[in-house]
Amino acid sequence: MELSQTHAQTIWRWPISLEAFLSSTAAGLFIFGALAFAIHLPGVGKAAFSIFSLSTILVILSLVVLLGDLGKKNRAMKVFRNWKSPMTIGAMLMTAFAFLSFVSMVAEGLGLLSSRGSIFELLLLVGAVLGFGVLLYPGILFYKLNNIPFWNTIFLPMLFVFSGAASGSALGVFAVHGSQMIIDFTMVSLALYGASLLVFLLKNSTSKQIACKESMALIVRGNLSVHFWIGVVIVGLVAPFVLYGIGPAISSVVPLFGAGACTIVGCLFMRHVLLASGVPEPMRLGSGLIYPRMRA
Amino acid sequence: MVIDLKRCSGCYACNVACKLKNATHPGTFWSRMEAVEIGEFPKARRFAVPLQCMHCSNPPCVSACPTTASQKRNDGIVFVDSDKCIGCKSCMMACPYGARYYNSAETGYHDELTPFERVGYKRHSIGTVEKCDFCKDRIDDGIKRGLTPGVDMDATPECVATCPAGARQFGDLDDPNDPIHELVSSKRAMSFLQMLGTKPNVYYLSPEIE
Repeated sequence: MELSQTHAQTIWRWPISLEAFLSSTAAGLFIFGALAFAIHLPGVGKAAFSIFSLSTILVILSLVVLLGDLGKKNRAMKVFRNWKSPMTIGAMLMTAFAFLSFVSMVAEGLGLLSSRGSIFELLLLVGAVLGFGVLLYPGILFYKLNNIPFWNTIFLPMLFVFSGAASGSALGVFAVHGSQMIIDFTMVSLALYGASLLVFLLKNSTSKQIACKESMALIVRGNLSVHFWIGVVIVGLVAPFVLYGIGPAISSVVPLFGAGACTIVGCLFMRHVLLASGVPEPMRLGSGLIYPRMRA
Repeated sequence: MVIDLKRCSGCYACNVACKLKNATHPGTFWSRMEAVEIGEFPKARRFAVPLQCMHCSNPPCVSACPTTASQKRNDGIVFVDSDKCIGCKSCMMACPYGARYYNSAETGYHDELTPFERVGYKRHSIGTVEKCDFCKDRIDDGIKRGLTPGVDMDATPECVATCPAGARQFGDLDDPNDPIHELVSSKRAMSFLQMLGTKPNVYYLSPEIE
């Protein structure tokens, strides 16, 4: 099999990977903050403003990246016109989530969240639900593209959800780092992300579709193998587990912060690798294959 | 539309006719040609396969488009309203046939735009996606003049009217009396990527099965 990237799609490139990463991390961070509030986590009161501010900044940044990737930026508001389009649903979710995250930030800034009124608990609940939608939507967007069989598996949205949760909670560690519960939560989300990545790759490695095989070859031993093995596996998964493991032993926050940073970088690489390895199903004429042209 | 791959000689006349009719930018081919090799030496054969928008009955590009710029007419023609397109490229990702093109810059085939390009490129909006529209303006204009698409060449897509080998046939698939029905129901008739559920309306007559 030819290990070039000639058949992989290049229509959606790094801005889409970055947008999906930023929005998912923002959503993961918000959910992390909302959960911390819900379970009365020690130290969360001081960190809540940082968490919701960072979540708001990240989701707004992702919207800016998405806007920057449009060919006609002045027509961006037309994105809300087709309710059947995953892009429309995603834009709605991100906009609503950005608003809720901003309101949560302002409410916390005014000291209203910590007063624990039921309306503010509802605010966090709705924000967390929208955040889950933001975590899920990039995976659904790619999953719906059944012309790219590598993405057309239900394990992809799962992977994106767990990856967003892992990168969001890894960022949360920077804000709230005094609790073993936080480390446990972050390690669990990282483990779930690693497991879902493994399941996704195993599912695709058993596929008989030629496009799937080509995607896998690109990742495992092709043009994207360095990004995958170093960026996703070593930096994004192995290093954080090692650092989380040695953190408590040396009583320092440096390994903890290092683990968080590695997780975040790994999740960004994961999105880039998955997006860049999307090979479309070829058309067949007898035994001959014609690959659709998927370049912008 | 039906394309007989046994008749197609890969002369690119359809591609050139399409470019002349639509004045598309370099790198943009609403109608393009792919070569495919079948079998192995000494029985290897090479075929030309013209590709374009398949004007699917179930077009994934239309449901993927967030702005409703990609639309399907009542007669089945799928087209892009460039005034509504925001250039998000969702439709390009959704199209399994790679039939859509993104207009990124107004560059011509030479250092300076020719008079033809200066006039023709005004029809294309930079930052939007475009594709074959079955020459809907020719069809609409022809019908207004009482002509029949597929029969009268003035009311038929330019690629069909131009094909010197008669490899391309155009007609109304909803009309059981249209000669194209016989072609579509022949044993040689096939379409690409049917398993994706797009129901393409560009059929091919296979060169292998007689």
